[in-house]
Amino acid sequence: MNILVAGQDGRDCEAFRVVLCGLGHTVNVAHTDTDITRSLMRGPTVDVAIVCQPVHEWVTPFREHSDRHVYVIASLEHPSGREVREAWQMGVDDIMSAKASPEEVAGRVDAVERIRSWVHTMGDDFVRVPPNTLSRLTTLTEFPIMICSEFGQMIGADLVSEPLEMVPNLEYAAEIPLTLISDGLNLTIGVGLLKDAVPTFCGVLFGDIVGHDVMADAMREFANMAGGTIKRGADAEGHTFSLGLPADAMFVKPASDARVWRLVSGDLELCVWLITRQDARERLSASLLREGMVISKAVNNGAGVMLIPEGTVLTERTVARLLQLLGPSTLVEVARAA
Amino acid sequence: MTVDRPILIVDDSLMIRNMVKRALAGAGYAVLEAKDGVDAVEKLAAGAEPSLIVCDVNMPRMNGIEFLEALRESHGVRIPVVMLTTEGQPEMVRKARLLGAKGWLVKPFKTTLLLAAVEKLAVAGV
Repeated sequence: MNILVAGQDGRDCEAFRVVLCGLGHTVNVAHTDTDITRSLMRGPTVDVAIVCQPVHEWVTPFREHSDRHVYVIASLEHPSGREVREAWQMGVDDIMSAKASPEEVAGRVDAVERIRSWVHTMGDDFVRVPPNTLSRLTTLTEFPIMICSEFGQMIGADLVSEPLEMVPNLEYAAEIPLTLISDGLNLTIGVGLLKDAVPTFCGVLFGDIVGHDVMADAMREFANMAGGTIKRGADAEGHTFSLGLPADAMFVKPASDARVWRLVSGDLELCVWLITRQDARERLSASLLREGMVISKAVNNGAGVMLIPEGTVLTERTVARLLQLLGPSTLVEVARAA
Repeated sequence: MTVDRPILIVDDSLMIRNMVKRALAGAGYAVLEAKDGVDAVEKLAAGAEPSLIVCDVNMPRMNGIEFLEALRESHGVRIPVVMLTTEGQPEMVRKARLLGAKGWLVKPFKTTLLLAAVEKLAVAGV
């Protein structure tokens, strides 16, 4: 593979160059962002870049001056939580310690070949999801912390989060969709309660055991709050999600691509998950519009006056008004997922 | 201090309606409930005369912004409305204010903030 090592410190760059050349890779070294730009413009296609600190100075040229995605590995001297978080926010694909062993460096660089070997098996939805917007949203990387805080306020408990491999069997669950029209992405946020945690949850929130309808309603409202948390956070980062309506998730199956966390405080345990999908947009005649769909292209009348902006989540009332204004056969572009 | 006329809570979540009702009733206010904008419009058309409306945004059938439009058409801006929602998009807040909303509280809400808004709007009639 063609590998570009970028950093000001010649010794660090040389150490990586020696290891990687020894493994048969072609390695170039860049000491300035101009060097990087020149390599991207004129040199052989760069497969992998290893960037030293300060990461933000070295990552930007790869993201701005390359038509194809360059797999960027950040090499951090002292990978503290803050530095790691900042590196992810800058859009790096992997992070390693500057003191990583030659075996580790080799393995991390080979990740590109490993990904190439299986990515085609994941189907179009996986391949087409553009990683940048979502991977750069602090709101999503900080989601477990934020949701612990929000839910903690609601139930008056100090919740802590732990990642889980998959969604466990749940007694109650609800999901809410969020659509990022600008990127054609759909997020699903789920909230669920394990059977053993139901009595504690009821006691904390209602003072006593409550019926199925009340519990289902509570789960929907928790999903709504989780969706609102993401939406407000993303708004602050300049990305406007459309928030759909929460619905019961009756058959929550372990989704292999879901990011899942348990939120725990004593006997109280909730489960939350995030699933990202490429949004399926379609053009529907107005008569087929339904509540919950999101307008993905602004709707104008014949005179060019905008009736509904993109990103609007349809309600029954909006659907009725659109039908009245446009007639049943006018085509409207919507995102289906929400 | 309380008011004679009730406060109307508009929210599709029974849990939230109960939490708001508990907070308001505890402070001596009478409460009416509606499960979405359509239900609220119907209750107002049937003669309900709330001193204040506490309204969610993200609801089925008729959302909170649409309810503000409907309320403005039928009652002008004489009934003060406080939005109580998970939303916080500045554009949406601005639209709500243009339609006459007097306050915007974010869920999960603090009872003290809700009661302060109620005191200011329903009691003082601001």
